[in-house]
Amino acid sequence: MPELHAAITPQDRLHVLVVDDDVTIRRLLGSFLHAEGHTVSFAEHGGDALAQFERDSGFDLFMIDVTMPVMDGLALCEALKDRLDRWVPIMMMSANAAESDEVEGLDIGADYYLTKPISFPLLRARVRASQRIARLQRDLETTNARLADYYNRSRADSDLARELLDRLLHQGEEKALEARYILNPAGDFNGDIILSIRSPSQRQYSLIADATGHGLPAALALMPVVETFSRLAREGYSLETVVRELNARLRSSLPHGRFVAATVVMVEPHIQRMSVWNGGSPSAYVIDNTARTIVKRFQPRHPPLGILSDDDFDARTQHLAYRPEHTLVACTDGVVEAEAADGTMFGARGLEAVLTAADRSEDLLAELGRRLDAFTGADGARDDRSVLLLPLANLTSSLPEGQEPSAEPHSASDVTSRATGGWYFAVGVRGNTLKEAELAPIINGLFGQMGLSGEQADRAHVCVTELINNAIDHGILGLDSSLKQTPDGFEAYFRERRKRLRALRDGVIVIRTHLDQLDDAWHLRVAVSDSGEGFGAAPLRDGANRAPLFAGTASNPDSVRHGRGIHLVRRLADRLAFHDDGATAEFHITVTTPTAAAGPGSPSSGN
Amino acid sequence: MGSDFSVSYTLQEGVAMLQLRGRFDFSQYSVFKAEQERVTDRQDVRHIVMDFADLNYLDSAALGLLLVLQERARERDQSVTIRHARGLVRDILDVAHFDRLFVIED
Repeated sequence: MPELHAAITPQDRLHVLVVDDDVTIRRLLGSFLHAEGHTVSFAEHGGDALAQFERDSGFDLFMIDVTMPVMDGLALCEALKDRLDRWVPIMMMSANAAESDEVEGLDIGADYYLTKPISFPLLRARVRASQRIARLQRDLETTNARLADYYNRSRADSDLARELLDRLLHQGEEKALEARYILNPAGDFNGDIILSIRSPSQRQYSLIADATGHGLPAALALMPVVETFSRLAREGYSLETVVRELNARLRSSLPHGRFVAATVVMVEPHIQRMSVWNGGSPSAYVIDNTARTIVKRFQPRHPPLGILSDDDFDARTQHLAYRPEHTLVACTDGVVEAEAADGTMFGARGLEAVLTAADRSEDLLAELGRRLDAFTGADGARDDRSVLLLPLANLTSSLPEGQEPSAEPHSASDVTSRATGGWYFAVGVRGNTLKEAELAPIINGLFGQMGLSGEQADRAHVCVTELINNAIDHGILGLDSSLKQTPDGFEAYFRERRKRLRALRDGVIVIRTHLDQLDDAWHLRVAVSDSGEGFGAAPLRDGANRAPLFAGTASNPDSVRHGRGIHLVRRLADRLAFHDDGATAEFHITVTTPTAAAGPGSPSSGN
Repeated sequence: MGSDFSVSYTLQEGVAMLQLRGRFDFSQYSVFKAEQERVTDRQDVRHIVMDFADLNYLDSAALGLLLVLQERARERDQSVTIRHARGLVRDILDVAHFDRLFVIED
């Protein structure tokens, strides 16, 4: 009866299983249900019905005679109830009113009870009710399937994203990270990050940052931070340049209203000095972990990264001359804003109380974690919560000291004339450009390009960096190192340095470098010359005609011109010599590592 | 938690006075976003004053929304002032150095 089928929508067509041992009843119900537009299957008894159900469980309605051979209607009803994983109406058909009453009284869980002879109007009403139920059930199943699908897919996506981010965030992470830290994300993704990188020039750069919000968007916002910070730190750029670049990079990549609060630290272990830039993070601390005292607070001096334009951005850093027993502690606002059940906050006061507690454990991280958990209670972290701990004693320079060549030292020209090959370059910077130029990363980058690597190359990096700093601070700017003796004097020194740098108009720094190959070794000679104050922008010549750089101090130039950096170079280089009344400093390092001996020109491993 | 936030505004002679109350955090994103768009989109608004007197807390997402508001206001030549930030709210604004970005009045 296809024309009748057409009268019913496919959604409303039921698949009915009619179970009766009486063939007349089966035919009667079959033709009725067909006429109504439904699909009908038949079974002669419970066993047959159950076998069909096992093959195909997609029935929408069961019509079951109570009395049948093999398995009667009651047993079948029970068996079906056990096996159905969704609700399907079951209609029990009784031979007479007495049986009907008895079956209903058994409360076997059927949904409708009909007494033979079947009343078709009543049956039609029951079937219609079943249709509505089936429709609801199907809608629910579709929705559930969609939800499950969505859930699974988003679960898979977020697992993949997390894996991806983890790899990106931790790629190239140094194995022997001197910093210790806890990262405690509030959700699946962490909006906090801690990075710590040692440059070849032995500076330790650390960063603890917190992106707006939580979860995946916050974690994504940190991607440019990782890339920019790692690159600039490895190349040994100044902290000012690092934070300025981070700000510019974030400002161009983050949507408006998104930003990254960060504390960025550069430690120069060989001269026991640290510089800190704090934008929108809670105060960072330098503590004496034995005396349990706070030595210095690095308060937030700037808005977070990614907000201000380059013109408005302020890269000024804070400084401290530290002692090895000191430890740097920095955290994200999830720590100070950790909330107790009654709404009170842990606060900077809570943090400082832990830092200075006389009775606390030696393991500050564990202690802080315990106290935070106890404070917030079972409710747990609402924000990502991270702490960076940098025990400064761990940062001692691992470089071997330079050695006076055992053989009689070759004179410079002697080495060059006998060399079988080599590199030569000179770089100069003058005038205004001195304010911005980052010479050390350029020179050290060239060393890398020429294939210098390993410990000797690292020593050369430090020596170049320190000699350039020395030339700028003392030669060009005429600053007095003795200012740096006290912690307060240290800030004063940097204030003065900024002031003089701003006012600087003239001056030249020239770096001449020879890398000569001789007898299976590479001889590196680097001479850093500065024009010095009062010398103007005139080209550098032999310094014979130079006036004393600092009136009254010429007899002991070391005390003024040479800070700790020079002492360091003296230790690390094989030889250090001064010419031109100290306006030129030149060091020698002999490079015998297999990498370098294999030949400059091979790409640096970049370790 | 976080549900006790409300924001409403009154308008008088070109000045929209936004009253923020309660705890302003990430969960209030859509509430505040809708309201700030309503305010900044009004042609007759020249100045926007946000009153933080009854605000107890704001997180970094909320700070971000303030920046978004400011940007919208700038595009429409409207000024933005923050007023009556006290206690913790004031501390949070100070840590983020929002005094460099907003006019903050007592």
